[in-house]
Amino acid sequence: MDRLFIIFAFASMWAAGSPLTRAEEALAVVVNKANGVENLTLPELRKLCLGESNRWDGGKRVTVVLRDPGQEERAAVLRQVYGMSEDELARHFPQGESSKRMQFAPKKLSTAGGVQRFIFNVPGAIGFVRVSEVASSVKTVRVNGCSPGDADYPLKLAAR
Amino acid sequence: MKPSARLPLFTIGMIAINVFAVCVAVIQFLDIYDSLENSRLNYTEAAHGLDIIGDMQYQTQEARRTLLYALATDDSNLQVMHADQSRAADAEVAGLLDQYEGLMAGVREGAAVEKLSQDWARFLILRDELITTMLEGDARTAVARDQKEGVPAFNAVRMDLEMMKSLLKQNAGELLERAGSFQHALLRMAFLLGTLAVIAGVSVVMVQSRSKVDTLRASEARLKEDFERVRAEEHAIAELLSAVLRAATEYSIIGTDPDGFISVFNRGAQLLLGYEGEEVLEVFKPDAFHDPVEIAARAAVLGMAPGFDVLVAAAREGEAETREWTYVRKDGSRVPVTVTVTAMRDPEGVLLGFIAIAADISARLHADAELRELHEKLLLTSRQAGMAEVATGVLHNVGNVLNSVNVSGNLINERLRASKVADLARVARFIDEHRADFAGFVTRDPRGVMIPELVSRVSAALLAERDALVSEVECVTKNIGHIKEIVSMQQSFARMGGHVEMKSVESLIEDAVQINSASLTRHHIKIVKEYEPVPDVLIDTHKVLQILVNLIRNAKQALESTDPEARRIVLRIARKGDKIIVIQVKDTGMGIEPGNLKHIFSQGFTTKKNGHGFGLHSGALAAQEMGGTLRADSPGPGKGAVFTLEIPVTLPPPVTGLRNAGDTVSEPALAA
Repeated sequence: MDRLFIIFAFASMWAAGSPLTRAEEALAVVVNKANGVENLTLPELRKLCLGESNRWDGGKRVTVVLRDPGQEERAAVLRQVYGMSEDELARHFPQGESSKRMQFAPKKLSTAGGVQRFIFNVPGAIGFVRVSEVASSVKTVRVNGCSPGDADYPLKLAAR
Repeated sequence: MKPSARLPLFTIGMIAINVFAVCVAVIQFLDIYDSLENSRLNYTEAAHGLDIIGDMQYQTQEARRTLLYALATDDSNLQVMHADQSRAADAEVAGLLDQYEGLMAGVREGAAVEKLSQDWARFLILRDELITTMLEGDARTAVARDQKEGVPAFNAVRMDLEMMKSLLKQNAGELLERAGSFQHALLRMAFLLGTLAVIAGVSVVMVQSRSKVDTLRASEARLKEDFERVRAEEHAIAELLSAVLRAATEYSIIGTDPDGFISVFNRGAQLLLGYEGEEVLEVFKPDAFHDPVEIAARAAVLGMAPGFDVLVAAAREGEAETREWTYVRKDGSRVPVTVTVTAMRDPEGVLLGFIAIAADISARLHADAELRELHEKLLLTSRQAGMAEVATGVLHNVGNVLNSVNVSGNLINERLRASKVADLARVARFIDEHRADFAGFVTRDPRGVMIPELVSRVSAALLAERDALVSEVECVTKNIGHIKEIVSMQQSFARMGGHVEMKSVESLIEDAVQINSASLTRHHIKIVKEYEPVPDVLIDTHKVLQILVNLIRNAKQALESTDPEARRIVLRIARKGDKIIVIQVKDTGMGIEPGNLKHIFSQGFTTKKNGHGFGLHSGALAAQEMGGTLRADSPGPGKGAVFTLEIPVTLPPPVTGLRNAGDTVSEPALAA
């Protein structure tokens, strides 16, 4: 009986503590390893994401990869980089064959692995992955000169 | 031909050839087997290669198919998933290619593999670009490009794989075919080996049987040779036997059984005894042919009863006995024989009988009688011859002495011619003429006054003359005495005895020197005496004297041709043990040729101009008669000679050594 209680107590503590931990986690900006970029300012990042600058220095097409709607990472990026809601974003990249901007609408992937596999396959792709989930197949880019571990790093899941 | 010698070579040759063939075949067999194994291995590899190609076909299809899936969707998640699947298939293909290249390293599909690798790489590049294009969202472009480039690129890969497959199949087919041919070759080789083995076996058997035949032939030939030789030997033996039997007609051969009954009676016996074989065989015993008196006498000696056993007593003891007997013939006549009786025994020593071999000795006895008669005649003749020899010796010795007598006679004659007796006669005539007035004549007449002195001188001279003559006459008397002795010696020789007396050896030598003294003086020869003192001995004086006179005269003659100053004769007396007196006469004269030394004592041998060759011969004979020896030695011509007379006598033990040689040199006594 006592033992059950202790297990329950620990499980409750884990369930209560984990949102706190997650909220503080940094969100890394990752690109294809062949990409020469090392640092991006938040405005540069914003332009890339909005499709306002759609070519890298080498001429490669920029492809932005986000998570599926409703996922934490997507919400954090919308808030901290786009500064838009889901609707605003949908309006920014209208559907239809005539829409030229539509070509640069962010791709939707349901997992961090999928995001990174996509970036691995597409030289001009850029995406966002929790620091804890970054794989070796992609390259992390500093933001505003800060690495994801730094205190001043601007992109964090916790920032509400 | 010698098969036994040739055969091993042949056999060895055959075996060597067979072994060589088998070795070659085995090596060939192993080679083929190896090739077959290789082919099998290659075939297995080819099959494995085909598997790999199959896998590669699948995986390339997979890479292509997943790409097509990716192209067919808008969902980025699916696109990424299919892209990953395509990459995974691509990684599989890369692994399979590595595997395949490792397996097929160095084979002729290399070019096809190379082409596949290139085509596949080209396809992958295209695929990656298509994936990128598609993921970037330009699916339409991607599909269009795939239609345009992707399909042909992938078809190229498919064709490559098909080509590799067909090549490999062809290769495998060839390998299979080769393996089949190797199998056939192996079978052929096995058959060949088997055949070779059979041939080898057969040839060995053939060689063996041939060698057996050859050996048999050789031994047959040898047997034939042996047989021929044995036959020849038998024939020769038969010839020999018949020759012996023919020869045996000269001998009577009588064989008996152990009891004495006659079992063999040969032709010789029949001829000798006058019986035929069947008359005596197993009827008589050999003693029937003997003189019964002789048998009885022999039986008495042996202490047994007369009969057959008397004849074989010695033979029974294992001795062959040969004895003279008298056989009595069938006609009663008698014949002297020598009979040899031996016992016959088998190898175990069991007595089989006796054999008596008799030879007629009547001819021999007759010859013996003739010989005896001849001997007597010879004896007589030799006696006469001996007498002649003795006479010659006597005459020689007498002649020698007479020589001295003659010298003495001449001396006497000369003395007498020069005698003062004539002076005495003249004195006597004066005295006679003056007989009347002798006193006056002696006192007044000057011749008469000389008479007393004359008489006195004449008488002195006559006395001297007388002495000399007496001496010479004594010499003559002695010589005559010697002659008498020589003669009486001859007489005593005739009586087989010498004139033996007790005498001093020294005086004997002195006598011998005395006999020769005249001529020794005349030739100025010095006599050296080296006398060892010896007592008087019992000796045949005349023989010794005769020898010594001879030796001294020979020495003198040997010195005649040499330098007068160096002429010397050394006379020695010595003793050799208790029983021998040694007398040596040594000269420094002309010596003796070595070749003549051995003949020097032979009768008639001489080197002198007027010699007879008798002196030394008779001297040697005389020495021999006394039981002694006379020996001559000479170092050679011109180096003198030594004659040594050794006479056995009875002596007391020796007392001292030689009397000194040097201080006894003296002149020989001279006749006055």
